[in-house]
Amino acid sequence: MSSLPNRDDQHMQELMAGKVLGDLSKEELQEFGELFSASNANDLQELELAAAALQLALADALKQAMPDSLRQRIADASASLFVPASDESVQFSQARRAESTDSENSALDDANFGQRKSSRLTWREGAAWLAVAASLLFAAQLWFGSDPQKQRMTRVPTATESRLALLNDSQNLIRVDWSNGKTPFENSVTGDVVWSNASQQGFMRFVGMPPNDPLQGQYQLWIIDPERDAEPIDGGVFNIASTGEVVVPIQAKLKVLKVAAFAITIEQPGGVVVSTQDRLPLLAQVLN
Amino acid sequence: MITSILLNPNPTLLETDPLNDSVLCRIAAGDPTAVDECVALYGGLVWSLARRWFKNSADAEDLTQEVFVDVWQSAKRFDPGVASEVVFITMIARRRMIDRLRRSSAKLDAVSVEASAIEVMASPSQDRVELADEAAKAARCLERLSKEQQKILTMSVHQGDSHSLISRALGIPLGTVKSFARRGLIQLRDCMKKSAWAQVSETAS
Repeated sequence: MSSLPNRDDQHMQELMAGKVLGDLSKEELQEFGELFSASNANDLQELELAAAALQLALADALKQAMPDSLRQRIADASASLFVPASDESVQFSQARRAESTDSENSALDDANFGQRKSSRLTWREGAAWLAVAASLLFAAQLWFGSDPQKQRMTRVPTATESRLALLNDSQNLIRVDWSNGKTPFENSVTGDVVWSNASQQGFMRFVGMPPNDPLQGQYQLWIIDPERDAEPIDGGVFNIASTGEVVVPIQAKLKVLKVAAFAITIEQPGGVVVSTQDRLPLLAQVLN
Repeated sequence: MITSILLNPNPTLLETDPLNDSVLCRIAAGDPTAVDECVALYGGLVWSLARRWFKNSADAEDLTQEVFVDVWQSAKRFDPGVASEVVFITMIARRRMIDRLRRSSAKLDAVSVEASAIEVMASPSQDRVELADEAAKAARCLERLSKEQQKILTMSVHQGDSHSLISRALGIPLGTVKSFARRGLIQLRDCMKKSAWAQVSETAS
């Protein structure tokens, strides 16, 4: 009794995989259309994201510059997004949708994600944006234009200043000290990590960290967040120029949900996307 | 879970989350400058994907434009907590590429690796896109599949080769190619949910 649903589920999984790979026959497409339901949407989405991630991984070394003529064509198309409000009946998005009415995936998009809402901006909205921007620029000029003290306020704060501001202004901060990782430094390194989940902002502070030669290797931060994913989040690549106190901002590439630990690895220049963890000198564990 | 989040993007989150400074979130919020920025950031990537699948330059150009229009229209569905921007855009590109192939019945004509290598140009810095975490996971998980599955998935996903073409090229029956490709993708997805970092994570917690 129980094996039949499993077989059916496996068959549906394979149909969805075939759909994502674009290899369904006409008969399979028809079967897919009949069997697909909202309960399968999550699985289909995961398969699509997996295929996209794989394609991205395999394509990484093949980035080519887009031709200028094409860039211009796309710029022209984007201008079409700003249509006069009086001409709303002729919507760019609708025109594009009409072009692809025979598109399986376009139909599937709607099945997966519900009715599309046009993200087209009207001419009025565009003008309003420009007016707001101009007003802000004017106000900024009035505010900063004459007062030297206020002009100094436009200076970008240092990482140390930003860290202090975060410590002073934020509540529910995570603050943990560095400890030895799997391959500790010969000399003791101290410091800490502060992280605000609310603002998704944080800083690393090091004292005694060995300076690196950026041409030979760089430090890389990993944010371990099992609640989000078993894979760590890339927290950015950075250099250390002195053994004194150094503050480095965290550059989380993805949204952090709940940090379990921060780890520092030493990687090739530019960092890596997958760390072998061969050199993991520092770890900061969060006690949740 | 993934779909439910994409289905119902939280407006509050979009307004307050600093990560929503991403170019797609800005497009969704109506920032006109973000559209050009999106092309500057991801144009090279989408164009490269298109050129790999479509030997005909005109097809590749049309496809690239089509992808960006779709990206702009889909920007409101993007959630940085679900997938990285670059994977989201690649997913849309894949859909449009598959649609275009079916519409035109174009032969899946892969560009050879050698030809692609010659065509690679020095990309301006804004065209460089960092490899997303998900892509890293996918690369690692691909290595865990059998050699046949690796070969078939690479030809299918990367080169856009049809399964019949793969069947002829590898001398494997078409049914087997389809089965290997589909089950390989399912295994890849399942593997991507696991992690080699689990050990460090467990140590940390």
